[in-house]
Amino acid sequence: MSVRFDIRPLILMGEATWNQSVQKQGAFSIPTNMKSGELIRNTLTKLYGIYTTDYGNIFETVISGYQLVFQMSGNGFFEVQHFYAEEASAITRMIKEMEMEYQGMVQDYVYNAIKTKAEEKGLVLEQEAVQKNQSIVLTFNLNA
Amino acid sequence: MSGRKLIISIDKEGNVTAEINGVKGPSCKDYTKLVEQLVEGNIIHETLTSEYYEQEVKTDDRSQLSNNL
Repeated sequence: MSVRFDIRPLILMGEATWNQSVQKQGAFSIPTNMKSGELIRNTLTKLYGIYTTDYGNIFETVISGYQLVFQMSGNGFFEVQHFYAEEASAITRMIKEMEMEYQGMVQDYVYNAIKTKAEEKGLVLEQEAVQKNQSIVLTFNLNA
Repeated sequence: MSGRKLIISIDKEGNVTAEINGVKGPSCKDYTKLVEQLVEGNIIHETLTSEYYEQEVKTDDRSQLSNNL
C-alpha cells in the first residue's frame, strides 16, 4: 500500500443548513444518531410504508398513531419530537428500530454511490467481498 | 506499474477507507482526486506508507540495463 485515505462521505456529515424559522416544537424530544433526512425518509418508507409531510428541513409523520416530528438539532443529528409523555417508551423503541435500519441504508447508499461513480469513470471492478465485520470491500484494477 | 489497485472499504456505519496499492513514489497521490470523486466525501486523514518513498522503476531504465549486458 502506498497511500491510505480515511474519508467521511457527505451523507454522514449532516444537513448544515438548518432553517430555524420553521422550527416546530413538540413537547418531548428524543435524540437520534441519524444525520440524513433523505435516508430517514427512505427508512420510514421501508419499515412502515409511510411518507412524511415536509416543512423545510423538518418533517412530520404518524406511525402507529404516534405523531412524530423529525428536526435537525444543533449537533447535526436529527431528533424526534412527540407530544405525550406516556408515548415515550414506545417511541424510543421505534427509534432504535429506525436507527438500525438507517445504518444499513447508509452503507447501501455509499456502496451504490461508489459503484455508480466508478462505472461512470470506466473503472474495472476486480473483486467485491463482505468481511466478517460487515464491511464491504471493493477492489478496482487501475491498470485497465 | 503492474498491479495498481484501488481498494475501497465501506464499514457498516458508511465510513470509507481507500487504499492505493502498487504505485511507488509520490505519483500515488495523483489518485487523491479520483478517490474524492468516487466517495463524494472529504478526506479526513491520509497515511503515507513505505511504498510512497520508493522509486518507480521506469521501463526506459530497464531497457538501458539490458543493453549493457
